[in-house]
Amino acid sequence: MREPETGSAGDPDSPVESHDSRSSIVRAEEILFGVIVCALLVAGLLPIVSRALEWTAFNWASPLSKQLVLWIALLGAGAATRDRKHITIDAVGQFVPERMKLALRSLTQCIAATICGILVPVSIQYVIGEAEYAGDSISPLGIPAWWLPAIIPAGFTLLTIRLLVAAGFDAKMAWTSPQEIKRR
Amino acid sequence: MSQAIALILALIGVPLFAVMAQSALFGHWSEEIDLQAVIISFYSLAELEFLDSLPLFAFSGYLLARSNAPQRLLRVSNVLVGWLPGGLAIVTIWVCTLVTALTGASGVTIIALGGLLFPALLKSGYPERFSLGVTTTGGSLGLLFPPSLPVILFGVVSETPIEDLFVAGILPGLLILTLLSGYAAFQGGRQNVPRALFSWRELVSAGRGAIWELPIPILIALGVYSGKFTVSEAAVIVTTYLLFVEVVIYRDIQLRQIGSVARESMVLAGGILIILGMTMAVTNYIITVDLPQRLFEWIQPYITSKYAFLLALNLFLLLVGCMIDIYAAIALVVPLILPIAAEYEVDSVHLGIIFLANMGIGYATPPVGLNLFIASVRFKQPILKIYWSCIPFLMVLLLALAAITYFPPLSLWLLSR
Repeated sequence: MREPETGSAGDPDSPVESHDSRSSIVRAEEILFGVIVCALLVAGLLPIVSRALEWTAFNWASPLSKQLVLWIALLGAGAATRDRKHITIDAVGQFVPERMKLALRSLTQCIAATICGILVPVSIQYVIGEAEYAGDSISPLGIPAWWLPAIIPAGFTLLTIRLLVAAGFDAKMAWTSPQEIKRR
Repeated sequence: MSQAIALILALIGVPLFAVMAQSALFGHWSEEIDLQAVIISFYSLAELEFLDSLPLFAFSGYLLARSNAPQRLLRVSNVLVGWLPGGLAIVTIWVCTLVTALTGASGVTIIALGGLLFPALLKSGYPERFSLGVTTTGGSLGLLFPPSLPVILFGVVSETPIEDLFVAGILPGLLILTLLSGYAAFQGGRQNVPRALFSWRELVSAGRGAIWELPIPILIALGVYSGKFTVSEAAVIVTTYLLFVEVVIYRDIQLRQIGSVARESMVLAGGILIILGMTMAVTNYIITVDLPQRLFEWIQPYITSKYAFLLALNLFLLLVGCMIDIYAAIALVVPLILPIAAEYEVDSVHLGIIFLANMGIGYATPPVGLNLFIASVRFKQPILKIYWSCIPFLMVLLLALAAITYFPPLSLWLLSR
């Protein structure tokens, strides 16, 4: 059982790829998620304002919010992988020494990467099917309809890579002696 | 077979979304259903109504937790009720409730407010055990009030109107607060804890300090209860207002910190949403194989009445609540118990309130309730001492739970059901 959101309560000292929170990936994610939150707010506010002022409706606003939820699911899960903040039950990890815990976490991340890896070709097939089925039809967002689900294979590919990177990093830390970890 | 693999994977700590994905893939494969059905179910994440309120409320919760709003609200409530017997303890209960409702449970309250409240309680003359108990159990109150993320998730998963759940949660939530406040007042009186003096000057000063944040709970309540806005619209309005207040007026949050708050909250939202997406794929499979019906037929000879079912449900959910994170529990357990509860004629809204009340208590239930560990770390106290301190509060909470479970009008009366 791990809390998803409280860094100081769970495993504050557990190593992640970099302690430097300003690292370029984190920085890029901060910008990306900042933009996504702003887009959610704009897409939510416009229909409210237009309703109040009796403007024309914004047909793209609600579909955009819904697509962003999917983006958050996949990209947020990627960020959660880096922060080691996925929701887990983890009954075993709490009772083993630190290095064993890291090794176990590396293993579980490999397993998760394998499962995500299986989802990649399945979701590519799905998108290809959609492209053939939907043809040239345009979504309310003004782009071809089949582009929308394309975030799924992209998201799972990214998630697979990030899980493997995290697994590799944890395995390396498990291999390193405690003195070495401390020294770093 | 599939369930056994899933259980082992979950127990060794594989992220739950991957465990669910494995179950969905294996289930579909063994039933010879095209694996693309898993992706179709997952893609329905982008079709669910009101789901966009979840990341927005997560964001506003983190924004609030990073600002000094909890401290300002604490000061106001301290002036308002601090003069009652057990005053500061009652303040603790109400402010924790407010902050937990806004930030969506899981220990943020204990971390944001515990460090402030625990020493203040000790300094005011409350016994250590009582002070630990009230701050630890305080961390999971407020789950029934808007804009609680677990309520929204329950509504989405069970296809129950979210507004109905929030309305149904009012009286049970108030009952929990009243019983706990009564206990706090009783203890405050019994221990002869000196009472604070009421001061108009302090009220004006504290009120002025928090003048921009005081409307937030009212804004949320109006938005959700009035029916004029959907939950998604309420989330948009509250988040925009909060951004304006914390960034422009109080300047607690710098503009360049927004990205970091957004990332932090999307880590939480993404973690929940990806599990939800996979759950929909698993649900698709368990409906295909009629698992809830089979479970119902299995328990039916042992559990013959609605009330026997509710008792079994309480025991089961308390166990789940102290073992599994609340969001995962909703995604995992609700699709299974919802059809079974319907067979026993339990209203889905009432089931939601029972479910969330149980989960809230589970957070502070020994030996593995999450808030107990957070409190142990935060207050630097041995875990056994935390267990011991929570027991009287758990008794009060269980009393409230019994009323919520076995007296359905408490949840359904305001909905005229």
